Amino acid sequence: MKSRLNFVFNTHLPFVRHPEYPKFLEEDWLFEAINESYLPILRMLYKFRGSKSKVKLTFSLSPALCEMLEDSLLKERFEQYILSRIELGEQEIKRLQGHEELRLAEMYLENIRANYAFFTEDCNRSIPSAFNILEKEGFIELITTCATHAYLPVYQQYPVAVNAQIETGIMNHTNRFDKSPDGFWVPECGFYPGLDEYLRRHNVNWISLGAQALVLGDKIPEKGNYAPVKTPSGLYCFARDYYMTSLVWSQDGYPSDPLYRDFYRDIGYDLPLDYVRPYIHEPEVRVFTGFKYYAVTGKTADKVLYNPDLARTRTEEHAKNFIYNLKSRTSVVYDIIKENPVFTLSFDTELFGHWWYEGVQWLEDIISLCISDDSLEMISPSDYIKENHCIQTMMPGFSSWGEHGYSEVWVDSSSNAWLCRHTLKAVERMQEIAQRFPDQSSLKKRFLNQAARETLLLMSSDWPCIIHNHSSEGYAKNRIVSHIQNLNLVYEEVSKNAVNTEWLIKAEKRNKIFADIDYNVFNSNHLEQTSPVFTNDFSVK
Amino acid sequence: MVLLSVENLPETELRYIAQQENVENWDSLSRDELVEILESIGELDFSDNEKAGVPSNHRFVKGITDVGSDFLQLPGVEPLPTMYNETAVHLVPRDNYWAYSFFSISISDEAKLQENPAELVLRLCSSKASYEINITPQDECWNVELPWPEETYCLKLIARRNEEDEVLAVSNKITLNHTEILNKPEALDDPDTFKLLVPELTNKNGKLMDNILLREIIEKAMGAQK
Repeated sequence: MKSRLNFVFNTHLPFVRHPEYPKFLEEDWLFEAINESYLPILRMLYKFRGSKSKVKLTFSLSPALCEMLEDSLLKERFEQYILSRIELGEQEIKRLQGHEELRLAEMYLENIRANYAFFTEDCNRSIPSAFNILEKEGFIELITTCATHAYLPVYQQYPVAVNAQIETGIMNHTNRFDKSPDGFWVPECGFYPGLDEYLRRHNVNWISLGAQALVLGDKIPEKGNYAPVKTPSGLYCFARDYYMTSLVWSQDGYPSDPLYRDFYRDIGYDLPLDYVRPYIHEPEVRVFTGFKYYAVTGKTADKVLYNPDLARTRTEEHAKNFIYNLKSRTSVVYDIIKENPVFTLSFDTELFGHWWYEGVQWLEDIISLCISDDSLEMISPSDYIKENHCIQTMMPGFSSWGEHGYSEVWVDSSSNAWLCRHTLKAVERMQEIAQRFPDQSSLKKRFLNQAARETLLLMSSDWPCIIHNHSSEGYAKNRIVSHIQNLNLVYEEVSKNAVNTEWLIKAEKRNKIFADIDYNVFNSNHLEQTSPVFTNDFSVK
Repeated sequence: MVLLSVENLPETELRYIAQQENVENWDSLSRDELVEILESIGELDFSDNEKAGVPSNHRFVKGITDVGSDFLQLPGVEPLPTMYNETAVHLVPRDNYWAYSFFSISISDEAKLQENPAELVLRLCSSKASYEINITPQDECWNVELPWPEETYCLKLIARRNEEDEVLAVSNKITLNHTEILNKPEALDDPDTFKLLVPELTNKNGKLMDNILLREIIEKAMGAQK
């Protein structure tokens, strides 16, 4: 009897790039994620290289994120960012001589320096390539997602646009990694019956869904979420295990433990402005610096100093607790389904290291426990499919992993639903001009290609989500409105057989994504010409 | 990362900031009171404080970058219209019970309606039944209830004059998928089926994940047991 752990990590950030400003605050989203999550995870996984460890994790790297990670301007800015953090660390060590916090400052400085060395030497400044090495050596499976992580159920009445997101995403991944992905991360696990056929057109074999997707499907899942199901078009669907993932990612999950490092207490807010000014944003907008010295502590404003040794002990305990729960579930489920259950454990990658500082260590502890225990096995969905199990055919239900399990986050009458009118009209217009002006060349082609970029960018699920959460509302609204306005400009101009070159040059420079894009992907004739639908037995119809 | 707006912060953090900002009775205020006070503080100008050497917490400031509403606009773009010049109605599914609809009437159709006034009605249609919602020309959107499971719906925008209906626009169709277990909740009476399906949808405290259809299924199953 074995517990089979299917870890799927969604790695995505919205495309943010502002060359017109020397420094732009929202670009920090990327730099923080790289410094606190991606590099620490890569460094941790690289420890297993050279061993014959049976490590297997799945990472979805979104095309939008990969474009940012490989962008030379953003790489340069990241280096400036990390060097400034190193400088801040050195300042902190001077400031904290004789103080208890000194060892914490030393810990952060050591980590940041290790990240920088890894970035420049092991990664050769290419994080996607570092992940690719791990895939080639068999430690991870790399998959992709929609071009700009669009939440597809909102666009289901526009199959051409849905296909454009999928196709552009897959093409970007294939060109980048010289290999087409076997699996696909459906953004926000947003699924509706019929979506499977568009994924199968592009030879996608599997997806990961929200926990309730199978139970709300057209048949009762015979093995619960402990085995995948297959849609009539042949798409394997692995549903998330809510119980196990909520041990980690919930209000009272592991990260809320009092011994763990508090996210909010940061010297960017606590120390005098004169001291932190070089490390925050103009005009004196305080930001998180990553130097945080307090523990969660509990429901009190009096935070205690963070103790990494105690936190370390706690991550070990939490890893063991996780495995204990896994094994308990396995013994119950195995008796019923008579096979080793698969636990699909999908998370946002940024939870580990960024939101939950100890998360990377916890993950390493889980991996170590799996390696040393024959009753545990890490498996990827592709490996599971190759085992040729007998799989139930059924259609999962309309679902997502968002709040309340449907589309409420992205179609919220109180905050962002008003966008639907504009985004759906923009998509309609893009489809219209792609159809009216097919196969253009030269300047007109560039103009229409840029329109396609703007359309993909406005479809991103991030903007309505940010507006719903009221976090960076102003920026998100500005972004989505600007993309819609840009698309409308192209629509008006191209209908008059004109090209606004001033706009085009600036738009291409700013929204520099998907260099190989072909706007004809938004032409309905193109959809009809894409690959035929595969049957259940993977033979071509 | 992003600066969080006040209402997103945990209560512990709110109390801490309130204490830092010398808010009176910071330790006994309710969460709502804390949010209200800190939001109002967030709008104040702190530059005098900074000059006096008093640190201030802008952690909760809503606006992140000091930019206007048009800072991202490229040359030649037009402001977003409130409405598009078309007579159309759309239906966007929100969950298994509700859809968001938005609609518009073109300038020429509006002129016709002014010449020949009519009552405006939204009719939600399915193969089973339909119902109507009276709307006004000022309405632009509506949350539409989807009362019958597993049905295919569309929405019609209708101009009604003396009980004669003119269909101005018809929306796209949306279909609520068949959910087998909703029709057979007694399947959960089987202990093995229950053990397979339900625990994986609860957290460690036994609380079912927050999903309205799942709750309906469990309630039906419990009702069937009685």
